[in-house]
Amino acid sequence: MTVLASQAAHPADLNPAGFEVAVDRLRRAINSVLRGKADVVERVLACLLARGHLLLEDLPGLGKTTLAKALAHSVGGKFARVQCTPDLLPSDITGFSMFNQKTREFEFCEGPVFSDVLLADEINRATPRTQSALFEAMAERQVSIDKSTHRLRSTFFVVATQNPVDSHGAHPLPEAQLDRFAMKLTVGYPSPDAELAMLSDQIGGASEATSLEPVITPNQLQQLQARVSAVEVAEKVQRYLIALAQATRNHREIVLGLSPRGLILWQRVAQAWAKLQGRDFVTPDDLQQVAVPVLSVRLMGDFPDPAPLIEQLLDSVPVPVL
Amino acid sequence: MPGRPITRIAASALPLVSTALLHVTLSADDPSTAWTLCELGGTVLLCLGARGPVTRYAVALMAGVALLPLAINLLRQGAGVGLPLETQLTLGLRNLMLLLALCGGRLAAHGISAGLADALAGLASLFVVLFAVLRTPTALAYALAAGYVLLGLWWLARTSWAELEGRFAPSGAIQGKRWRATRGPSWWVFAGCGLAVLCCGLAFREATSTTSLWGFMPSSGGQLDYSEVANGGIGDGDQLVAAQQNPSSVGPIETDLFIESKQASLFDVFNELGELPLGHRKSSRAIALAPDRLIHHHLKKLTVNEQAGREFSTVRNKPQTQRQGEQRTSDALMYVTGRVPLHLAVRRYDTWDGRNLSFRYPKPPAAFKLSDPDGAGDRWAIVSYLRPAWFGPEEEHELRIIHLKSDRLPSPGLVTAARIDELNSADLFRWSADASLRMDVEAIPPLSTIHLKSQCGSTDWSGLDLATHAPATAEPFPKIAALARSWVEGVPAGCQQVEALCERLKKHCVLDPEAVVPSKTKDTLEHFLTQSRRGPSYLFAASAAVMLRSLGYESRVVSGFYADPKRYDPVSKRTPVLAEDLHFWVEIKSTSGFVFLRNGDRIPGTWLPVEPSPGHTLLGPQPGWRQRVVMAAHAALHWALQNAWLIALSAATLTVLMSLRTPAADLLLTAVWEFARRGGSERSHVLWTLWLIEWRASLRRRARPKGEPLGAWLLRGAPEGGAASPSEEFVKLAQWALYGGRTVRPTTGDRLAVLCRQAVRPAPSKKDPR
Repeated sequence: MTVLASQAAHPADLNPAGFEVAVDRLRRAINSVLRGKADVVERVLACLLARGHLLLEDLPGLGKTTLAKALAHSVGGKFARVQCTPDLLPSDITGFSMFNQKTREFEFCEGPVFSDVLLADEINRATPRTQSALFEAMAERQVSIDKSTHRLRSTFFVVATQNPVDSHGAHPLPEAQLDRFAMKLTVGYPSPDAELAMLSDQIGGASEATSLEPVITPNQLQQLQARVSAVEVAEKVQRYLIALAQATRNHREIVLGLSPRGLILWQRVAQAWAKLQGRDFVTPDDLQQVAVPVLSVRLMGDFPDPAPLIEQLLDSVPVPVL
Repeated sequence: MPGRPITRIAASALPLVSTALLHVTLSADDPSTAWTLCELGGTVLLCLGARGPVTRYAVALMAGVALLPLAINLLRQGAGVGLPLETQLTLGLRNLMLLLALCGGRLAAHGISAGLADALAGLASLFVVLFAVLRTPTALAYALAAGYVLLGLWWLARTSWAELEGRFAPSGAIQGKRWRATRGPSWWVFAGCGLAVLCCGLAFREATSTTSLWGFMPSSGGQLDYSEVANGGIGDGDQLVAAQQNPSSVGPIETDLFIESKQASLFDVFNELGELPLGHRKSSRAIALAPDRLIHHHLKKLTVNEQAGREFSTVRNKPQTQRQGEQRTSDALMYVTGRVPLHLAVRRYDTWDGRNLSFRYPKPPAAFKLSDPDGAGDRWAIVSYLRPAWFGPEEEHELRIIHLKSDRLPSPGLVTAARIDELNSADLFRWSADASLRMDVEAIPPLSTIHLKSQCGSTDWSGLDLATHAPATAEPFPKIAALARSWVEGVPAGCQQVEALCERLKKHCVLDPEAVVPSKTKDTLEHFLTQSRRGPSYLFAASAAVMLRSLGYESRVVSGFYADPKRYDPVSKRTPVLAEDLHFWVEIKSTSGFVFLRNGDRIPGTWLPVEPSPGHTLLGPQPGWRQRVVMAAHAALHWALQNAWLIALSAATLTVLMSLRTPAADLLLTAVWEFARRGGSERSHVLWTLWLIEWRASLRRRARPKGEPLGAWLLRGAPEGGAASPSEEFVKLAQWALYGGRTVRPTTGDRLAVLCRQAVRPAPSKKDPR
């Protein structure tokens, strides 16, 4: 088995005080394309900095693809898009080996997963077989094809979208796939003021997401993510996190509670959220702020909207103080 | 689908049912319901009042509720209603059980999840139920236990089913729990307890077990520290003695063991323990008897008893002082169950010669017949029927003979029926020659239980006819007769004269058991009434009888026992009758009522008890519920008037304390904060400030919701009811102190002190906007 490095290590080029500057540039760039959704953008940034993957679920035309493209172009890395359809094959995502007549050898052709940002549009329209091709890529940032394991970029970030309304010909994502996403977000309709600004921007030329200039490099993104992972989490906060996880597992209405992988992701997203708030340590406030997007993607049960249930869980578990 | 809340409800019901069962069984012999309710209420308040997640004080709370019964028992012992040690320990277990049931969901931080708390509470409730049922197996206890078993089985099945469906955390999660508190105080508690035990061990290392226990363990009197519930120390407590004397648990009642006993007899009571007549001691000579005339030595004393009891001298020695042994043992002659005071007649005297009371005129013997008037299957020996129009309803008393060795059956004056369990023959009951109840045995066996029915007189004597006799031609005691006539001068004849005479006698003389008549006195009553005016009850009774006879009323003196209500034991609900309760009173004859004779005839007339001695009262009719309410209200009002100042002072103090409790507690907490923050680190300074803020909010009933983070709570101004909120800078500082770990402090040390001071400054004086 051989390991092929598709991306070399990048030198550190972010100064210690540059975190806020870089994040602010990223924030402003995305907000310039997706109007009136600062809270959504903030959570998307937290997901990106936590090295998690994002699932956007909303109605058509609300800016899911725009958000994903804006994010990819702002980072400045390689962007790939897969329009998921029922006839999409796993090799169409991961890549395949092709016989070269000149060299008389098989050569590996990289698929879309070999990118910095992968947009899997309408992911629930792909067959479960094709959806499963993303398992290894999302969890371990590598793909195994034939007898070779190919490492993906360290900033590999999946943004998947799905339409909750049009369910004809759709294949719901399995629990194992959902658990690999860090959070699920809904964009929602913009406010009237945001819509007015959006209409004004369209006069005299479109403001496309693809016209964005990269504000940070993938190297800088990697350093930002390293800074986030160093954010301190006190033991009492970790115990609080565990108590919340146990509460999800013991709740009578929740069939599938929080997994250990989900627990780790929740802590990482909380670290990113704390860093975005300018702190180097996590508080219970951070855990609660990101609880709904993190838990709503992985709690299974017979409830249309998990948000009230999650609020109830947060109210029932004592917050550690003194 | 099995729902977990229903399981939780059932799990909470198990401790409640077991608590109810425990208190049902405890209330059977523990009359101090107020203490029990106080202790139970305190426990529930402690559990319910525990703040928030009970993270910090859980260990102290558990220890507190477990030790609460032991602490309260110290107060109970001071009030004379202590509890045995095993009951105290069970109450402690009950408190822990209630704590788990009420606070189970808030102990998660200590590794006790809600499900585990329910399981532990259920286990404790099982032990409590077993203790209660085995302790007092009553029908109600069995019924509650059956309900508990059904509920418990249902709970177990439900829980098992829910676990099968994966509704609960996997068992591995429970096994991995930590059982020890995570914070420091638990170590301090354990270390402190260990140090205390070590110090006690060193202090008493050279003492014997007896001296080391002295003062720590309650005893039955051997160490001058008496407790009726003692089950350790020196000797046994009264309750253990009472248990040994309970005939329901003792089989033999007429064995040689008891008949050959050296215990005191009725003869001893009259002649040795009580008051010994002068010149009674005589030398005796042994005479050999033929085997067929041989009297066993245990019957010899009884024969003397019968002979000696025919006459009672009023010229006697002073009563001997009771010997106080180091061991406290029961010296009761009998126990009376039922209403007291009760006059229990043993002998009657109808003749007075100036010095001695004696009996000369035997009454015709009467027979008894067995009957079952109540239809309850009990065979009663009917003694007499009385007119219910004047006398009160029949009332039952139970006599438990202990040290009374006599064939005489102490009975109330107006006795109507007698019964001994498992006795089917009426021939065992007899009349003595002096018209007193006796049994056809050598001696009533110790531990015998005798049930007596009697009627008590009404308080209204107006409709009662008294038997009179023609005045004697030659008055034998003219001075006494003149005194009697002077006392009742102007009082209408009949019952009013009897009452007036007795009341006057009570005021005229003083009851003094040690004031004996000089041995050379010829007429003891004249000396008593005119000179000393002080003496024992037999002088009062003899004086009253002689004076009543001089007025033409038929009267006689009765000796027996007075069941004193001061000796009533609320725990056992019985009144012990001791040797010093020997008492004399008078009976006058009424033409009401009749007594059955053997041939079916009836003797009209009833002897009614009259009490001439001060400090003694006759048993009145049983009050109805209205009278009881009025009496209770009257007693309460009387007590309130007597303690008006105390009540007013208590109410004023309570009012002041209640109105000032918040500022006083605030002042105290602030003082603690001022003291604690000095000398500590900057982080501890902030943490103490947060401690003060949270406590202040709790005092103002604005405690932080358990699921709300501190930062959000502070920023929305919740501690001050929205009127003011700490600065955002302080909130960041607080978050750093709580969760920051090794990260850099967000502000300087001087600024930190200023921020803390600003955060704990007193709230604005304006009223709460809520």
